[in-house]
Amino acid sequence: MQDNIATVFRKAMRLEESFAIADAMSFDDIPGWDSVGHMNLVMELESHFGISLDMDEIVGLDSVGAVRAIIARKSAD
Amino acid sequence: MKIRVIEYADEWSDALAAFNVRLAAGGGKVSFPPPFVLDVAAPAFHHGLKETHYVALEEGSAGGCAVRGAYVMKFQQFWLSGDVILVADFRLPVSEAIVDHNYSPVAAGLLVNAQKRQPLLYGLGMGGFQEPVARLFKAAGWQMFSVPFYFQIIHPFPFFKNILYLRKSVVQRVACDFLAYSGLGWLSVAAMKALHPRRVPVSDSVQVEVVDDFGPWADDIWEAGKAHYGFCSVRDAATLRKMYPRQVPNCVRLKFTAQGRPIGWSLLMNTALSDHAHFGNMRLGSIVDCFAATQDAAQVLRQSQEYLVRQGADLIVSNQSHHIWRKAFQRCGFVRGPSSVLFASSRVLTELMERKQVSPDDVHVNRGDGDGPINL
Repeated sequence: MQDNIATVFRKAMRLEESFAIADAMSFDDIPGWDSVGHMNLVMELESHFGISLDMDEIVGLDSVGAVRAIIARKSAD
Repeated sequence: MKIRVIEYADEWSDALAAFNVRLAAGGGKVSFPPPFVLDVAAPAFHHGLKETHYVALEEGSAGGCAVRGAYVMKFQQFWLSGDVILVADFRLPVSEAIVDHNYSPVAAGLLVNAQKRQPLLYGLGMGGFQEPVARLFKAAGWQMFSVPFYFQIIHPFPFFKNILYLRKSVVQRVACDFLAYSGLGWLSVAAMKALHPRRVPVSDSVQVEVVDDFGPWADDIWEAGKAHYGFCSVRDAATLRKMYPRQVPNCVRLKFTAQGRPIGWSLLMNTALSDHAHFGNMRLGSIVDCFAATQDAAQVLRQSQEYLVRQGADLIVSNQSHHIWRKAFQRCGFVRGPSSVLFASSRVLTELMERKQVSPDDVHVNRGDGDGPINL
């Protein structure tokens, strides 16, 4: 899943394949992670993992680790 | 971050004011207005339409709440190729991310929240495809297209002296002044008119009347014309009175009649501007809104244009999306210019339009929709 999330991040934020994604990364650490980048991220996550995110979950996606945790929980549901 | 979106109430007025202060202090150029108080004596455009304000609240550690974002939904009935559906205009979305990127998720949350409340959403305006709201809509999978802008220069001298869009640099200002004072501006406008002649003659069989308000005759026009459009806001008399209250100053309603039968209407503005951001101190004529069965569109437009010319407009402008009206503007000698007005439809609304085989060419929106004719 870690690789999948990194792939989704790179696609959503239009990052190079070589850009390393780590769980501790947040808005300051990932170029393009602004309001529009976040919308891209939500759309990519929903499409990639076949899930639907609600408001609480969307605003809770404030780090790569938080994204991973929410996806893990949604996938387990 | 724990955020909930709720309908605005007066108890959040201080929190909203603090939100606006933070935006301003951080250099933000936007703010979020509290709901207007309906002023029966002096209503503004669209004040009769139902509008709901929402705020995104973050619970504070001390038990208080801070507003971190907000949006408005304005509800209106729309005609969609045979059906009447309720659609909301998603307006003024703003989030704290403008000044603090730790709140970057809020804008997406607001949009998703709005889509859950009302999947049939649209946006109009936005200022261009590169503006943040337009990019947010695009990221959310909304369909977007530009609503073409048309203009016609009537008086070249005041046009070149006041068109701030073309007078941004010293060189441009000198060039515009040269065009204005040398007479070359007049010649270039004459050449433009030769290239874009008015191909629609004013018909003697169509009578034009300035009316105070939209009466039952507007219902007849709506019923006769609506089937010619794929998608447009319902423009019956009751709705038009809500969109354009009769007490709003400086707008003119023209009613067009042929053989005793009402065939169309237009809503015009003719404003002596003062230090307008784009048009300086020009007298600006605007064809804000118009409706007719498509075969009558060109005549409604031609005579609206004639009215504004007689009233002394220096420049006449309009934004129009429907292909029949666009063609009418071209045939009446208007020139298409760069447009900052976009129409965006949510994914669900877009799917509904596609099921009804409604293309962007069939959509009739103009400056009467969205926020209404502000800044005109």
